[in-house]
Amino acid sequence: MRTGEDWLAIWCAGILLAISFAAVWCTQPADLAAKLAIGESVDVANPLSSWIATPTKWTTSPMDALTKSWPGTLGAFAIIAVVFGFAMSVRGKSVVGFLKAFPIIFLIATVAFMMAGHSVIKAYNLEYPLWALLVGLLISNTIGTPQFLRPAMLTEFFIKTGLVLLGAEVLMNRLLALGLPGIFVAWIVTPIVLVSTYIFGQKVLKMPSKSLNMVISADLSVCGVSAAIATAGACKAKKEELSLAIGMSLSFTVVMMVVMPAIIKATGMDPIVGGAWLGGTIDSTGAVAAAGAVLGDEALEVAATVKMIQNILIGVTAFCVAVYWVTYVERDETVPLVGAMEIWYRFPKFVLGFVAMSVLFSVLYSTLTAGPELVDAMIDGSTKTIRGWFFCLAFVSIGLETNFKELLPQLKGGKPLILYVCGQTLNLILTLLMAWLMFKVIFPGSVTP
Amino acid sequence: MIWNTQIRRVLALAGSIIALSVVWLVWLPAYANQPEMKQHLQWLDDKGIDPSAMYYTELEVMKDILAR
Repeated sequence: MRTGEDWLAIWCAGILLAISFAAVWCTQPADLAAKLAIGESVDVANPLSSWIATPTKWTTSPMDALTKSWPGTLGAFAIIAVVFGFAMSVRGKSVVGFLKAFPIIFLIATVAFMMAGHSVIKAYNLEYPLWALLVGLLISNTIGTPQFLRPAMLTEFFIKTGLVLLGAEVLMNRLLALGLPGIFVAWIVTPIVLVSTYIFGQKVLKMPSKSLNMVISADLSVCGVSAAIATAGACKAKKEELSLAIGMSLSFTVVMMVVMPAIIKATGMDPIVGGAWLGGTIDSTGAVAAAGAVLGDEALEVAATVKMIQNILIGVTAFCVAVYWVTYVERDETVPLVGAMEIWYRFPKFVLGFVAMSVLFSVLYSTLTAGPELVDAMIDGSTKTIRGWFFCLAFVSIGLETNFKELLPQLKGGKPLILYVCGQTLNLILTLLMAWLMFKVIFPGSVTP
Repeated sequence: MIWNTQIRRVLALAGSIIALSVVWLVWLPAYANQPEMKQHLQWLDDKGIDPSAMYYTELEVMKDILAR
């Protein structure tokens, strides 16, 4: 069943990506190639963009969030209802049951997006998964989750489909945006911190749950919520473990995005080194940009670019974690070697879809004449929004399935918190050292103000 | 007894909704209108930064940075 669901998630995401790319391709300006050849900048529109949206940012009235976005919100509802309704029929499940429950789940997700859309909430990096989880938890822990909603509470299926869509945004071509120094800060320190934190959790803290250990390690070392979601899928973590990792990440990010720029300013640190330090350590991408901007445009540029390079590491991380899990963590201790068929059988196939989409769209991006314009228009106009809905629906489902009591044992002994603090401390030290070495000692002047 | 439990649960949900509504509909809009916060929010808008962006593709300022 798990494998069937994985393949179906790849199909659903693949169909959505194919339709989105075809829509952009078919409506591209006739003279696009000619204009690009003479160096003119061209905006490629996505015809689906006005039909796919999430509630927008608001400050004084929540209705402002829907004033412009309601057709797009309804469009997203219709698209997901059709695609997942079809998937339910393929899986032999009740389509009617799904379609009866889905409007309510979608409505809760819309409320979560509206809560996350308040400008102050956004400014503090309190992302929508937190509110989706909170609203779901409030319902399940007060009146209880009604039985009729269960056919649309497809946590894993939403996450897997969203992750395959995210694969199209993992564009390898952007790896060299900061040259070698960027690679060293984002791709050398990050795996060291991830592996060290995982080993520390297992050998020193003796954390009972390996998957929780791995999700927290990836969350703090790679890029927060998105990395936690991808790794949780790859190591088959429990929903409570993912919720806990995300809660910790968002809490620490709020503190780090305020404290770190203050420390950098107070110590008179070079803004480029400071920017790289922020980019390599603060979990959330948006928070990195906000913290970098406090230090100035140079720091913002370096911080956001280092984070972007780290974002691209998600695919490699998810793939490696999935391989490690099926070959070592889940292996039968009595059998000396795990066979190739056994690995294939247990491997979470949606991770292959995630990596395949990353490779496919990276190739399209670099080989097509107007690759960057077409791929960017596809992502900006439709697929990243649909991916956001899938993740939000997944967290609503997690909240509706979770009892507060199930979250408490995860915090036993404070081990997850100790793991996060120790891992993040190592991350802060190594990233600062690497940023200083790369941007000041080995490649000084590689980033020009 | 069962009836009492049901009522307690409904009241707990209603209380939570009221508390959240007060925060989101009254306190947050008022806080956003404080001069210092208003200035900060405007600054973020001018820079094209959404601090709640989960991935780099959600960050408006990234387009300008990559273009440079």
